[in-house]
Amino acid sequence: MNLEELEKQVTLMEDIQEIENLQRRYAYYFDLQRWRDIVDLFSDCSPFEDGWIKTPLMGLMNYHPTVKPDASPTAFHPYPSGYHVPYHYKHPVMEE
Amino acid sequence: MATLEELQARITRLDDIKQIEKLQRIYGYYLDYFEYQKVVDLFSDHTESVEMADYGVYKGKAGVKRFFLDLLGGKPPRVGELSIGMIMQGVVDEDPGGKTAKGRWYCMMIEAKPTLSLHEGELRQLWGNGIYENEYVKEKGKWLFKKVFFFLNFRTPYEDGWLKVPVIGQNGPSTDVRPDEPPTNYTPYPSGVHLQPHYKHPITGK
Repeated sequence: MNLEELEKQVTLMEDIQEIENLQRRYAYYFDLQRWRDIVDLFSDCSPFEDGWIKTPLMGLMNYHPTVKPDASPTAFHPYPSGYHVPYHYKHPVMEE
Repeated sequence: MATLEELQARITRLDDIKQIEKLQRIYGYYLDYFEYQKVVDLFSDHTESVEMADYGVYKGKAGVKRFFLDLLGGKPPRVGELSIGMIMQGVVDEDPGGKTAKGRWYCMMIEAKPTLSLHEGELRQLWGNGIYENEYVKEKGKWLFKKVFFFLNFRTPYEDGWLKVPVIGQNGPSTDVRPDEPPTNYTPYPSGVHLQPHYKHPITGK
């Protein structure tokens, strides 16, 4: 085994040890009712942990680098802008 | 890429954690089999203290011997006496320098023990729970206990449960084998006291 292979193996063992500790510390914090500490054990990159309040948008690349549009977006105002898409119809009773 | 020396240091740290985990588990099996001299031999000659539940603080290696050999082992176990202490969920953190470490463990207990006092009274079936926050030291290449602290959460009769009878059979420090100091943290359920962990939060560092 060369040094590079050995390092891979050591890193794997360290990773396993750290994951085991993470799981156990999580459980102790749970029993101690330290909820903020539990939240801080979670990754920021877990979409199920974010939702539309914390991260309204992700994965949008703005304009495509090569396939360019003919004009800018006409109504790109995502949450929490408060923008409401206008109706094309009038109220059927009030006619407003 | 890491150097050979760096990898050796990282392997030593991993090996240390495994040795400490084994020490803690071996201790538990000796304790359950009432093999108190073997328990004593797992402690450093420079032990700080041993303290469990409401028995008080026993200092130094001499204190370790008085606690395990004279107090717990003062009388041979009776027929039917049972101790099953499952030591679980260990989080071991080595201190910088790799000569000392700390560990937190849960202990779930299933027992048949006298409850009038440590050695007297009829045997009762008991459920128990507590937390170890221990310290370890490496001497001559071997890991030993430097400090043992056991926080009793509850010890209740099987028939009753911890809501009805949180603790039975704990009668305070012995008047025969006296501790060096009174208990430092005997606050079982339902006190609401939380024994805080030795470690800082691994992500926030707080």
